[in-house]
This record gives sequence, structure tokens and C-alpha cells, in this order.
Amino acid sequence: MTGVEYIEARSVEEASRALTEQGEGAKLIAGGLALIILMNHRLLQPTCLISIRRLRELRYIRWDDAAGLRIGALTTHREIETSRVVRRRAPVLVEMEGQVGSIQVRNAGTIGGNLCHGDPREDPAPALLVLDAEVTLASAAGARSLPLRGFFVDFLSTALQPGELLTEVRVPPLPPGTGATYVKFSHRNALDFPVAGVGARVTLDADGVCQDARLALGAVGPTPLLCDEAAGLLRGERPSPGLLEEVARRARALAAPSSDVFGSEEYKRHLVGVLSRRALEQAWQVAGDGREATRGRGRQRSREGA
Amino acid sequence: MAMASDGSPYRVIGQTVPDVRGPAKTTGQERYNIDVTFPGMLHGKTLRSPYPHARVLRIDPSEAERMPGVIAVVTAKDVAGTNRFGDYAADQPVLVAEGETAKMVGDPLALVAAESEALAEAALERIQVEYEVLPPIVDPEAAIQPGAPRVHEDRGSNICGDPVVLDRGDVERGFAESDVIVEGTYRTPRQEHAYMEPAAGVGVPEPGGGVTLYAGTQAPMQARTSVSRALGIPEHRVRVVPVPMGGAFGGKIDVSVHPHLALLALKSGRPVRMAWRSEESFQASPKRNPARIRVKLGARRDGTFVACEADVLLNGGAYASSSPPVLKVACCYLGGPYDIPNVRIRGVAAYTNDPIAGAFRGFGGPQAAFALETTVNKMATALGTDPIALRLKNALVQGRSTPISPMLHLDHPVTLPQVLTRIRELAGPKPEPSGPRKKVGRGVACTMPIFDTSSGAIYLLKGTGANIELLPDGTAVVRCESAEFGEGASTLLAQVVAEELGLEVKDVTCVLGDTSAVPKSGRAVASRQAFCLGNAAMLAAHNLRTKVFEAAADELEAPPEALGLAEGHVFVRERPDRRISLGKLSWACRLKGIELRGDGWFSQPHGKLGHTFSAGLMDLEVDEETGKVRPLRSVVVLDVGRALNPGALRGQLIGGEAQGLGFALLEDMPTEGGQILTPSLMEYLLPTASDVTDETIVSFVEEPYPAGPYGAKGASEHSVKDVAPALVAALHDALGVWIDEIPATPEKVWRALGAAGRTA
Repeated sequence: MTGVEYIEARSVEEASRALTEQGEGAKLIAGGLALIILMNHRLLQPTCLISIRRLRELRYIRWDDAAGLRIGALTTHREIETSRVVRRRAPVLVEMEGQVGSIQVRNAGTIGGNLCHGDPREDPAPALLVLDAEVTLASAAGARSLPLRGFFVDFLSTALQPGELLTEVRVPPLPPGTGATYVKFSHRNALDFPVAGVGARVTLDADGVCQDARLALGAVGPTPLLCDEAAGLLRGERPSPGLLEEVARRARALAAPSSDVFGSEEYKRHLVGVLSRRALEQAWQVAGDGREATRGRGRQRSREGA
Repeated sequence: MAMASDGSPYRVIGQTVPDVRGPAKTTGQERYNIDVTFPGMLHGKTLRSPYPHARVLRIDPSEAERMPGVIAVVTAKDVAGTNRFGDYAADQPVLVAEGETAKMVGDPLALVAAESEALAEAALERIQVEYEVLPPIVDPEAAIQPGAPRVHEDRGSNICGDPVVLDRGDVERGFAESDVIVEGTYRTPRQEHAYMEPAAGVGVPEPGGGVTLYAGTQAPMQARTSVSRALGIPEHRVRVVPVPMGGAFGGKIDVSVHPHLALLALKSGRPVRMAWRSEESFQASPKRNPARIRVKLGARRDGTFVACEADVLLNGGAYASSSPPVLKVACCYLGGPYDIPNVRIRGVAAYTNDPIAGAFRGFGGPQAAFALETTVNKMATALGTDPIALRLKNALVQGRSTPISPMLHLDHPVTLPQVLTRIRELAGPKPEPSGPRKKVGRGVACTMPIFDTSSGAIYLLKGTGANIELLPDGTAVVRCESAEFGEGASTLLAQVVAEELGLEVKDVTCVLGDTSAVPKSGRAVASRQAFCLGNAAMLAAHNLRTKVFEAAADELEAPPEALGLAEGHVFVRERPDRRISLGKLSWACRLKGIELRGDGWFSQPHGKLGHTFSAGLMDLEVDEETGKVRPLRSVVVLDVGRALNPGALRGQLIGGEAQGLGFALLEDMPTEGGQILTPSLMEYLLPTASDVTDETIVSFVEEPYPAGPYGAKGASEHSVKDVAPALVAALHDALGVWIDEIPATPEKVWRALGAAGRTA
């Protein structure tokens, strides 16, 4: 094995230039969680690692009334999980992050690295997708904004262009009456990637009628999957077992899981149905509770995991 | 001697004594195998077969040998001895030679020692190997048929070791007399030990052509013999120093890095370090044998068991390792702790091109207990009887009934009724479901676990030695073979020596395993250490005490039989103020040329295993839509004879239960065409702290066993066996379906519900 060149970038611009100059063999490293595993298994043998760990300017959580929740790409899972701002503004992210890997993993892994890895078997994407999150992609040439739903292209493949870095994740302010949840199924209660993960969001009007809804699936296709058509069935409706069952049925049909040691295609599809229904039920519940709670103190919803 | 305040006749024994190596372990001071370094040391790596079955036509290491920084490349051509190891059948190659076949993925072909680990790895890629890929033999059922293609060309068949045949009475008549017959075919997984520290160590060449191997093993002397025979080195030139291991669980009985370290150290002339990656360990170390077990049980309407028939097929993988004795023990367990007049048990272990299997905590017991106890639980359901009452009705009776296996000794108290009664007392109320889609269930199981008694029931385990030296300051060193892998042998030995010589635990140091310094004690296996080493250390202490009293008799002007030992002093029992410290006495003996060393040799003539009784209860909650199980609360009851160190024992039993939960719920290493489908800890699911029970209640029945030290029985492996059958019974209680193939994954539970028409 030959040595790997290691460059410590001092700015986004420097990191971007180094990526361009070093060409195909260059990889950005932040928390290094996915990258080091791939390297240890020799699935990836980069010639150059460009570290962005020291870019403190990419490590923040801020609230902005216009843009919403802004999370720097180098923010760790644990920082999101324990952030009071996130807990207040997008509690589903706290709920989701609490299910990522283990505390050690959450202390090391960053939200930007997680998304850029492009692995569908990750927890954050479905939760962020249902919140209509956006990402900022920056290079030495400038920055652009992209809805997260346009970011995942294929298995381990994203919309990042050569020389681009993901610098920020944004969650726009949620309308009142919104409830969101993330439900994960894994064999173990820690450390595992999801066998299936489902994010759901429901926004209710003052009468409890659904104005808007989202449903996103993780780990059951080449990318995280947004189920727009299925979620669209909920608009203008009140919850009923038959309706939720129909949405779950469509989510099951949209899922494209593959069989592996963690479960057969058939079983994973079944899980998608169960989790979708549970996630929507819970999101509906949270949305309803939220409208009540705006009058008093917010209360933490108890979590019923998968 | 003062009595302990709790009424126990012992001062140190029976107390919870913290692990003597605990502070070092918890503060990172303990030096494990991967921490061993020597100046100028090289790094060794192993080239392994990627194929489960392939003839090795040619191995050309020349390109690797020419690489700068590569100091030695070793192939079978460098091996002077038999090039084979394995204590039941020396059928495993140190290195597969040209012309021979690789028989499993991971079979070693060549070794490299280089200046760095990365360089050694790069050199492996430069070794050219030509293979003739052969069809893998992977189905044990097919493999044992006459005329099946053979794994070992030099063997007549794929039957590994002797098949087991156990008969009593007339099973046909027994089944004819039965009112209810319950049958099932059960499958258990290939379980990986997954110790935190895979095999590692350093080999150091010694002047005169010898080698010292600083490498952990549960069997230091056996490792010495294996290396000597396989490599053709006179045994006195091989020294094995077992470094404390980060776990073993039976997976470190066979040699691993040892012969490879010796080869590389001798060829390079420099110390060489090897440390297997966990993925490498997954391939190369023996696993728990996957088992297919059929059980048929017949009972009268009143619940009396009349006949039991069982047959076992173990997948042994490519080499014998411990599969033959694992099979014997599995068959022994299938006899159960029950009094059944008509029994027929058959067992076979098969060679295949799957990963090697053998010893793993429980040693055949978990597989057999799952099959038999699930059948007993099904019988309780079929009869509409309480499962504990059914077991009490059929339990062995002291003095009247005997165990079925001839491997078992008969002089033990039969305590199954106490064990079952205790578990019923501790059961408590069944928990309530936590939500609308959750169901709760409770299950029980019991077994008659075995342990070695230094009697020769298990190959190479007759006779256990220990010696104790009293040092000039009155402290003591105890030496025996053994090894440290978290089981606490050092603490137990220190307790025994302190108890017998009137010392404190802190005044005793244990030297374990260094083959140049210790007496033979046998492998650290078969739940034998407390029993066998405890007895040997007691004998050594008595021998030393006799010498101490003889020496002190002069100093104290009293006959030896009038003396006592306490608080680091020898004293005249009638006149306790007349005393001499052990330090003074020891120094005086040093000046006079009297050796204060005691030797103990514990051996029993009967050639039988010891046995005891255990029971487990499991409460769980299951999600009826996903099939996922959450273990809630369990109870473990074990007759330990006497708890020598209750805290340590509790830890052992809780750890065993966690391993049992992995076996029952999560862990499996399936193969396809001989290739492992869960090749790393990414896919192989070990339970985490969040996957085990919220609460485990451990309770000891203490019916002293006269042959044990202070009445103790072997205990360390016993809690692993009851878990799977208790858990599967709890699943049945919750959902009404039986899972006959473990691990009981959520998907299997879901499919069972679907098959029962219970899902949408």
C-alpha cells in the first residue's frame, strides 16, 4: 500500500481547489465514519484525503426567522441531537439523531458527511426530506442551493459536482399544526443502520384536516425515497384506518428493497407498510398535540419506535 | 480461625472479591496480546484461500520475497514437522501445501514477515497462487451419505469422529405406550465467539533454534505440543507464554497464530507480531457448530415421559477441532435432566467446506437444550400442563434414576426440584404489554449442565497441577497452567491460597500458563477451573502448610499438629500469643536451605463428567406486526454447590445469558457455497447493552458437592443454555407460534405468524 496524501484545508475555497487539483483520487474527510470503513475494507483507495475537520465555520446550529433552521455541514449528529434550538424548531431531528449508530458514532459523524456519502441506509435523509430541507453546495466558483429531494442521484451518488462541498443544511420554518416523526426498524437497538426507516410529516388546519403531508423511506431503494403520491392522498382528509392503510400500501409498492442478511425483499416491503402507517399515525398525533400545546408549554411526545 | 460474621466457615471463600486484575483492566494498564511489542519486531500476515474448496496447484512467493522490507516469506515447504494440528484429529494444516486442497475460506497458504503491517499486506498480494477450484461440499446431510464427495481425501467418509449411539429401554414400545407424542426438527445457528480481541501475539526466536510465543491460548501446554509436532521443533525448545486475552469463550483452545509466529520468527531471525483482524478471525477460528436436531417425545396423559428419540447432525466444517466431543456432550444433554425409561439418541458430526466449528461456551449444550427443552415446552402445551410442573414430574430422582449418558458421574446431589421451585418463587408477575401492537410472553427451560472434573472424561484433561511458593516476606506465588481471558482464574486461585494459608488476597500473585514455569493443569475449558484448579490449589496449599508447620515446629517449640495459620502467622493453637510471622519463618527456611513450596495434583479416577442443574425463565415483549422481540426480564437459577466468589459468578451467568440471547435472537453466520454471508461485525449482529434484558435475577442453589473445593461445582458456561428454549417458549406464550429454527429473527416470527394465518 502506498501512502495517502493528507491535506488540511483552511477554508471552503481551499478545500474546493484541492478537490479540483487532486482529481478523482481525492476524497473529503470530516468525521471519516463511512470513508474509513470503506478504506479499511479496500472498497475505496483514495490517493489524497482533504480534511475539512478544522473548518469551524461549518459547525453551527442557528435559527433564522426567514431561512429557518440552519445547520452547518460539520455539525455532529450528537450536537443536533442535544441542541435546544433543534429540539424546539424541528424535534423530529432530535428523535432521529438519537437513533443514529451509538453515542460514539454520533460524536464523530457529521450531518454533511452523512448526506454526502449518499448511502440510502442512513437515518437523517428521510427525516430531513419530509421537512423539505435544502442544502447549500459550495465551490471555489460560488455556492448554490438545492432542495434535498434533488440531492440523491443514485446509490452512493449525489448531485455534488467536482470541486463542490456541502456546507449547510436548512430546514425552512414549519407551518403551525405540523407534526413530524421518524420511525426506524433495525435488529438491534443501537449501532445498526436501518433495515427500513420512515419519515412522516403532517400539517393540519385548525379543524384537524390535513393540509399537507410528506412520507419518505430510507434503506429500501438506491436512494432515500419520497412518496409524494401516497402522501398526497392525505390532503384534505382526516385520519382513518382505511386511509392510512391505503397510503401504507402505496409506500410498500414504491419501495424497492433488496434481499440481504437483514431481511428478504418481501419482509422489508412489509416493514415499509407497518412503519409508514405508524409514522403517519404518530405525526398526526404530534400535529394535533402541537396545536393544543401552542397554548401551553410544549410537551415531549413519547416515542413509540418500531 | 475466626468465623466470618455471616456464619460461613470461610474467611475469603464465599466473599465477593473484586477481580485481582480488574484495576489494570479498567484503567487500560493490562497488556493484552495486541499490546506486546519487542524491539526490532516484524509484522506478520497470512495469505488465505478465498475458496472453500480448491486444490492449490502452485504457490510462487518469489515476487513477494524480492520486495524491499519483506524479511521472510513462509510456505508449507518451510515446515519440517507434520504440518498438522488438532487435538482430536490432527487434520488441520499449519499451511496448505502445493498439491493439497484448501478446505475452507481462510485456509492459510503462506506467511509474510515485513518491516510494517502495510508492507506485509502488500506482499501478500504479490504471492502468486494457482488454484483448481473444486465444488464445495456444504450440505452436512448430503455429506454423510455413502459415496458423497469427500472433504478429506485421506478419510473414508465425511463423518467426523465417532458417531454417538445411546440406548435405553425400547423406544418403539415406549411410543406405543404414549398418549401424546410431540415431534420437531430444530436448527441452531453458526455462532461466532466475536471476542473483543482476535488472536494475536509475538513470536521471538531464541538461541539454539527455539522460540518463545507470547500469545494467548486457553491451552498453553497443548499449544506447545501442537507447535512442536507440527513444526518438528523439540518440545523443550518451544515456550508458550499466554498473554491475557480479550475474551476466548472456547474459541482459543486450538492454536491460531502460534505455529505461524514460530515459523516467521525462526525464518526471519527476528521477533514477529501477528494480530488477526476480526474478519480474519471470523474465517479462521472455530465457531459453534450449526446443528440439525430431531426430537420425538412421548408421554402419558398424566405427563409421565415414556420415550424420547433424538438425532443430531452437527456441521463440523472443514476440520475436526472439537466437533467430536461437542457431539458427545450434545447427546449427553439430549438425555436431559429427566427420568425417561426408553431413549434412543443418535449423533453424527460432518466434515464440510463450511467454516470450522468446535468449542464455544456450552459445548453442544445450547444446541441440544434448545431442541429438547422446546419439545418439552410443546409437550406441556399439548397436555395443557404447567411447564414447571411437567418438569418436576419427570425430574431425575436422587438414588433412583440415573442420567442416560455414561459420561456423567452419579455422585452429585440431584437438585432439579430445588432449582425449579426457586425459579417459580422468583418468577413474579408477568409484565403488561407497553402498547397496542405488543404482546408479552413467558417461557422456562431447564438443563443438566456438565463440567470437567479432572478425571479424563475429556481428552487430555486428566490431572490438574498447581504449586505455591512462600516467599521470604511471607507472601505467596501460585503457579498453574490456565490463562486469563476474563473468567477470573487469578482471583479464584488467590482466594483459595489466601483462605488456606491465612493470607490476604492481595498477598498472593498468580503466574498463569508460562510453559517454562508452571505445572501442567490442563486447558482452561469445560467450566473446570474453579473445580479443578481450586482443588489443585487447595492440595498445594495443604502440602505447603504441612511444610510450614514442620518448619515452625522448631521455632515455636510445639509439635506441627498443634499449630495453626492465620493473619500471616503460624501460631500455637492453645497459646495464640506464641507465633511467628510467615515472613520470618520463610526467611529462616531460606537461610537453612528448606524449600517452602507446596505441590498439588488433583485427579479423579472415575473418568466421568460432573453435572449440575440450572433453569432459566424469560419474559419478553414482541411486536406482533414486525416480529421484533424485546427481552424484558429473566431469572437464572443454578446449583453451584457453593458460590466461591458470588459477584464474579453472577457476572459469569449474566454474560452467559447475553451470549445465549445472541444465539436465540440475533447471531448467525450463514454461508452460501462455503462463503460467509456475515463476514464482519457490520453484518454479524452481536447483542448490545440495549438488546439484553432490562433485569436479570441470578439465584444460586448451594447444595455442597463433596468432591468440589468447598463444595463448589463448575458453573461458568451454564446460563447460556436455557435462554433459547425459554425465549422461544415465551414467544409461543405471546403469539401462539413455535419457532423451531433460531435465531428467532423478526422475519421468522413474522413468517410464522403468516403461516398461522395471523397476519393481514
